[in-house]
Amino acid sequence: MNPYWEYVRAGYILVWVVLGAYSVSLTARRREASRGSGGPVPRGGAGG
Amino acid sequence: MIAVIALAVCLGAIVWIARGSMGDNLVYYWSPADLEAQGERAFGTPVRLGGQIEPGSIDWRPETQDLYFVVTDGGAKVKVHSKGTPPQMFSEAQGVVVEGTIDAGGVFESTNLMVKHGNEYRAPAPGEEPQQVYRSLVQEDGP
Amino acid sequence: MRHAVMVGTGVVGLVLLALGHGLGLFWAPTDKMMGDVQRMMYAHVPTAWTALVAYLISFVACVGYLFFGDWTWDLVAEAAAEVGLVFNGLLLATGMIWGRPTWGVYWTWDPRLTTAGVLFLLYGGYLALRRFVDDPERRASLAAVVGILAFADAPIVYFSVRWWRGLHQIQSTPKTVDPEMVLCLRLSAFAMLFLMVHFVLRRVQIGRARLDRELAPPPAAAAGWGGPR
Repeated sequence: MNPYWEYVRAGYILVWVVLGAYSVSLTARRREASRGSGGPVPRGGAGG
Repeated sequence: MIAVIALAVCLGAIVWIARGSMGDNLVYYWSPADLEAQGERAFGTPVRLGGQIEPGSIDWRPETQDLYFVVTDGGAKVKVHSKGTPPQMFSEAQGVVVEGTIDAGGVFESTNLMVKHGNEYRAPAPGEEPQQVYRSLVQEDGP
Repeated sequence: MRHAVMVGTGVVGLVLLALGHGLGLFWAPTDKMMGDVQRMMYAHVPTAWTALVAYLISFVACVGYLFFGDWTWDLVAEAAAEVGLVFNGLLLATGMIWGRPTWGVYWTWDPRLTTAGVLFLLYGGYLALRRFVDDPERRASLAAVVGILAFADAPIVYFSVRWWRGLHQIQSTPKTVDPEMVLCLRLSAFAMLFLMVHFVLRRVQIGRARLDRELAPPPAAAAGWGGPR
């Protein structure tokens, strides 16, 4: 196999893994942030 | 008011750097002409040297892993010696930046060789193979 | 409506990214000079654009907060800075991975690399600073000033390849890149732009939930910890 594909593969895997992990962390932090203040904060539409 | 001051500082810094008062001190590499102008003062001082590889000057000796080539900026020329397999992109068509010192003999002893790439990306012309430099280099790399 | 935008940007971004990266990896022509390593472009270049756009949003929000004082500006400034930092990190990482096989080194103190690294540190500092200030209003104004100052480096990163000679090539244009490659690059760039907006919206939600808790009047029993120190 072309050895330089390994760099390419590593780069693309990194991008997808990091973006995926960030998305998961956002979900977790969202849950964390709305906990303790009386369940999920319904905030649709209101506010600027 | 704070916003205005912060903005002014921000814009001022950009203008200042753009006008080159800082740019003159921010030299990433020297050209062969810069190095030549320094004369003997450049001997033994670690610097980065950048320029084009002179066509036909590449002398690669796989058995000793010695690489010799000439870096030029069109006018001045500096002979460079480097140890080990060069990166994939190393070829006569490319610019290079080498880190190292120039010795009293006028040969630049490179400890780090970097290949500069342009901003052009092209498919090979019909019937032309993409460059596969790495094949020859990787073989020479050994196990 | 807001929920639809959030889901929509996420889905569109994901589909476009799969398309752009898929085509870039398996359909775009192999570069004449660099060979297959050039395919790093579709991963690396869009992270740079996206990071800079995110920082620009943060900068505008910082200015907006100082002028209008509405909490939403502060929340957007924080969210966009954090998302920008994620893309900035990816920018540096993919750049190092691309640099090794082409330049021969992962890292060198080239002006472009240095200024992009400084940008990462500046916004890392901005986000760290926010954690040190407890009072939300003080935090928001201080962060806005720092956020404005930090952004000064962003245009420097962009122009660094033109102002100073370095190892990094200058910006490519559609004229210097073959059309199939440009298509893959555009798809990946729009993909990351959508994902960036998606992440910022989600991050704003988190910030808002946290802020609501901070601003809520403390229960009488717990008044001890809520007041100034």
